[in-house]
Amino acid sequence: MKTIADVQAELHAANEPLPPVHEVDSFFNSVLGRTLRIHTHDARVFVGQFKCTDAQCNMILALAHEFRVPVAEAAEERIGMTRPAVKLTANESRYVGLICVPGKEIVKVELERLGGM
Amino acid sequence: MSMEEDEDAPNTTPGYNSHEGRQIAPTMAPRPIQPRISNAMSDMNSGNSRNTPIRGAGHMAFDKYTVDITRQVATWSRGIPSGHLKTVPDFDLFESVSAIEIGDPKMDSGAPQNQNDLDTTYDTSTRLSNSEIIWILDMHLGCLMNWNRGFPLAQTLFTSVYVEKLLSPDPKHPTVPKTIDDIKSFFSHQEPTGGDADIKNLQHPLSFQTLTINLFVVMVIKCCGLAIDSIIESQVPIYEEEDISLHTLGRDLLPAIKLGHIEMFFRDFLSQAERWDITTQSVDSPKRSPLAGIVLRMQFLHKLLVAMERDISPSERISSLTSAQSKLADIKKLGSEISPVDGVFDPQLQRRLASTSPLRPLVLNSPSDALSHASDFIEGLRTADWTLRWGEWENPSLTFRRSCQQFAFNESKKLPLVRAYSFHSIWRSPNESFEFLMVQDILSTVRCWPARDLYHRAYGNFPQVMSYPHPDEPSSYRAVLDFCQRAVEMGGGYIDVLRAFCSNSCRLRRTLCRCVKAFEELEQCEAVEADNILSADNRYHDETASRPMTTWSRTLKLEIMQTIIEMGFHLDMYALSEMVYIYSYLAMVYNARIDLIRFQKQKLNENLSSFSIDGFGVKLDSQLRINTEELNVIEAMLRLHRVLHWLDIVPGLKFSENQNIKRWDLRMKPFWPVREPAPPTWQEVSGYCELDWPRIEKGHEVESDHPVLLFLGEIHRELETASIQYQAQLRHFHKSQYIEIEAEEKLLLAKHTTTMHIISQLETLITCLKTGEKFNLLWETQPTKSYDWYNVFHTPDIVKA
Repeated sequence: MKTIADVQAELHAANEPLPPVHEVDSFFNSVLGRTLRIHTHDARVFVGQFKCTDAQCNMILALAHEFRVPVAEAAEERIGMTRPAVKLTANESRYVGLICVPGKEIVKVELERLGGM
Repeated sequence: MSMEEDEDAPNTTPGYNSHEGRQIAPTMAPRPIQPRISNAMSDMNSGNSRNTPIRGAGHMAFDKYTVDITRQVATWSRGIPSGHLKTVPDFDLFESVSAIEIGDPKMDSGAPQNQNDLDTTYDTSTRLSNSEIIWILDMHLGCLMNWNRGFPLAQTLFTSVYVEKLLSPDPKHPTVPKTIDDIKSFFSHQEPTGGDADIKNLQHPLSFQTLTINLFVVMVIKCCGLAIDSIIESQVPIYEEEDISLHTLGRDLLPAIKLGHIEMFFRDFLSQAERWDITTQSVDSPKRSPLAGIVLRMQFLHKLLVAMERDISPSERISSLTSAQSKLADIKKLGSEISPVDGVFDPQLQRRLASTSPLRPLVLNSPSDALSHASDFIEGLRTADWTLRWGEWENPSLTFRRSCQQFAFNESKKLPLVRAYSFHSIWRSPNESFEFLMVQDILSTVRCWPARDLYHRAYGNFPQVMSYPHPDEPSSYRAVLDFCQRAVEMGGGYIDVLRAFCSNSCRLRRTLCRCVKAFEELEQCEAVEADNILSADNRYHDETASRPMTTWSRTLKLEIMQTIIEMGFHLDMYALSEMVYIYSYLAMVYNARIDLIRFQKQKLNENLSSFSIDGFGVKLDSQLRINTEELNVIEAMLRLHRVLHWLDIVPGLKFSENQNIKRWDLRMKPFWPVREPAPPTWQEVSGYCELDWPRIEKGHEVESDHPVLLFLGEIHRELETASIQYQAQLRHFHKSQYIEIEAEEKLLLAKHTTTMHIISQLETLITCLKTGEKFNLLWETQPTKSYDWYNVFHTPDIVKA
């Protein structure tokens, strides 16, 4: 599975121009402090408040919970099937607090549209 | 796609969680989204990425869309200059350092080694043989005991698949059992699959295996829960927060399941067992032993659980503990066959806990270790429970001090629950209770009529507190009461002596050092004052002549001093080269104690009247005998060490005179305030321990009339006489359930063992000296597991080279 670091490498390889600074600021100001769901390549989802990031896409979430994608679904995903809707239930979660998810682990970043801040 | 259209999407998209019929409330309406996000969403919906409707977590109570912003994040983060961070206000690099790095196996307990390790391979509905069931029960018991010994729940109980299933059920049975029906329904889902009708068809909804294992696991979990409740209630400073505050692990220990519920299941279990004609009486039948083993284990844990219930009476608790202990003995005697089962305990289960600590290894013992730890645990609980009930002893204060003393060095005291029990009584009791205990203590040491009267007035009342004397009554009452109050309340006073025994060994010694100073002051000031008032009263001159308050203060002070010196041995404080000096001071303290008892005896004999025939003289004689016996052993050690010094075979660094003086000053520091017996200076003690005999040459035979051989022969004779006396006394002891008698027997046995050991060393030494054989001194400090008198002395081993 492609990680966000791989996507960055592809963009770099394709000589994509760097985005202008004011746009970068504008984008991150709109998502920082809001609730993100970060999917990692080991079939986990972290839900927490987005606090910090850097050029390598290492992302820090506060008050984060870890959810697991059931193994069967993760296996389907590994063999290339489309990922089914991830059902997050309280019983499968655990609180992990302040976490730093390295860019090389992230396969998907989702923004929760409601109630983020 | 516009914002408005997007907001309508939840109602039309398959997968939207509308089962609760909840609509987005006006107040929950989305805030106007930033243009960048709108663009992202447009990209996504136009096919660049998927917009997946996700059902929200139930406890978070939100149903909403998420927007995939992976590509946007990847793109725009490239624009962040290298070495810079994009953060929310007030969040800096320093804060980010404390974050757990996901994917790092050392920090991230959830990081799976491979995809399959998250799911346990063990199936709880597997059919098991009886020997396998016994193994599972024993291992769960081992987990409970290991947790009680201080290992975290995450490494012990929460690694069990059975516990995990019960406390964190799979999505098919999504609720943690809260009622008895839940438990029953939960159990039924664990039924073994496949045949074995003879076990299953017992006209009971649950099979023997399911009921046994699950009930045992529920009882183990409840034992932990009750222990945590007791610890929290006692406010004992125990710092394993993660285990005490279980919300950090995301688990609770079935708080809604009460003992009554478990009793119901237990009765079911017993009736099933009876149908199989399994009774504990049939333990001798080898055919039935595995089933009998299961029944005994269940009965044992049931008794333990009853004993840990907080609401039961002390006598019920003691009787439950005693029967648990006897069941444990039966289990050991039975020695059932045990077969291990793979996969029941899985360290990977820790990944499911809400703990932020990394994965730690399993802490599992062999089943036999589990049983021996259980035995220690029950012994600890019994001792703690006994210690708490001082009102029920014949000689409460002395027994209390002795038990505390035993308990303070006992391995089982480290168990948090045992500590909680003992702390609860000693730290939560009011000062008045200690005054009552102190008056009892005074009466066990000296004869003092106002104390006796005050004691009888308070005895039998509840709470047992000293009542203030009427103003018309003699001032002696008031003097004794004031003295007690002062002794209890003062810093380092009576209350601190008792409380000290609840702390760890280092703190215990430090607190006792403070107590020595306090009791010296008490003896010099308050006790003298009280004795003066008492002697002004003309009644009971025979009692007041021995100056009871001063005598009591000094007795306790000397006892504390003995404990401090003896603890030095226990804590391995002394080097072998200084043992001789320490023994000489310890002998001085013992001599002072014996002198004090002799003084009491002398005063008793001088003033013997018809009122004083109450067996006090007998008590004094017994105290004199005990102290003299202990002194004999100490003097034997002292003399042996003097000879070893003189022979110059004591290993270790050679210290200069200055270093010796400094070290000795350090050792005597706690005793500086003491006037009687004042700590000797280095010059005094070193002079005392030297021997001026003619030197002997190594490897040469020593003549039989050489002073060293005469000296050793004399010690040998004395010790042999003493050991014969100990043996005779030991024969009079018989097995007793009273801890105070057990303690006395233990002490006597310790004296006997020490004496016999010294005798054997002396014999080797004498033979080597006579024949001119070479010999060495072996001295290895070994951590002593429990405190008894024998263990505080390190007797060196003399071995032929």
